[in-house]
Amino acid sequence: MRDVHDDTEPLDRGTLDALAGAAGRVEDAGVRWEALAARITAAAELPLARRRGGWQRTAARWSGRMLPLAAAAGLLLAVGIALAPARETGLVLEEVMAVAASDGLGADYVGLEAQDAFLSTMLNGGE
Amino acid sequence: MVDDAELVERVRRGDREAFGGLVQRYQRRAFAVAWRFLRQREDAEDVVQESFLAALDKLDSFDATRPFGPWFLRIVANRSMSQLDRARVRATDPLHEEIAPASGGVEADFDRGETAALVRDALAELSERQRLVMQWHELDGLATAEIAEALGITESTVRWTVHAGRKALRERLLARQEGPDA
Repeated sequence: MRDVHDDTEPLDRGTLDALAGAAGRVEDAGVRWEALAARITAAAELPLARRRGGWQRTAARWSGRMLPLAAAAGLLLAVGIALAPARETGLVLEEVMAVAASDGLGADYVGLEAQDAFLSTMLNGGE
Repeated sequence: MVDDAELVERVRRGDREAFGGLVQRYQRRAFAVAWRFLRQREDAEDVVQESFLAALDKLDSFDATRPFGPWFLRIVANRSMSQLDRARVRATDPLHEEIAPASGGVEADFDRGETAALVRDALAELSERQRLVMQWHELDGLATAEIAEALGITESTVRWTVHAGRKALRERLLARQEGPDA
């Protein structure tokens, strides 16, 4: 949005000089900018290193936790896959046997064998 | 050229070179801000250094979607004011509030001149904050947004202050040119 004071005409050179004369110019002629920058950067070395270290420590901490967890999870998965069919087969057999025992199928099965043997003897003339 | 946002992001990760980039980019403006408060080169340099370190310390709370310059210069202004307060407490002779003419040949010549006296009078009628706005804007080349953030005022107020200050200066100088009989 355009401000109502945006169109204020800048001060002319003479007025600016007068303003500078009255208010004073920033006395930066004696500043050694490169030395100042070097001083500031040197003073910031420790906090900067802390920032770098902090990031690395965080990453290391996470990788330290995650790698064993990932390895353990992978191992469990592999064991689970390897054992899953055998366990399932075993369970099915156990269930079948249990049902067979409870329903008396085992006895019936034995009775059928005996009947077969009797019929075979009769038909083959007592062999 | 790498923009401020990228430098800030790298500094957050501890990049020394990026921090150096921000220092190179802002140390002169920071010095100008500090000097206007303190008027001592060494003190202003110290405040600039402290401000960069404070900015580094507070960088995680800085909203990276906003411009870095105004935020940083606000830190410089606050540090300068604190330093000024400490100096005032220490000094047995309190610092003068009125505009102090700068030392040096050219400025000394102006001090003796009628024009400088008129301008100084005009500036003296402004509040300290208004004077800072005029000096930073007209002499030191700070952006409106930077001045606004540094002083905790709106950009509109900065523009209004510049407008009023220019008007006052022009009127005084015009009155002098026309003379008392005009």
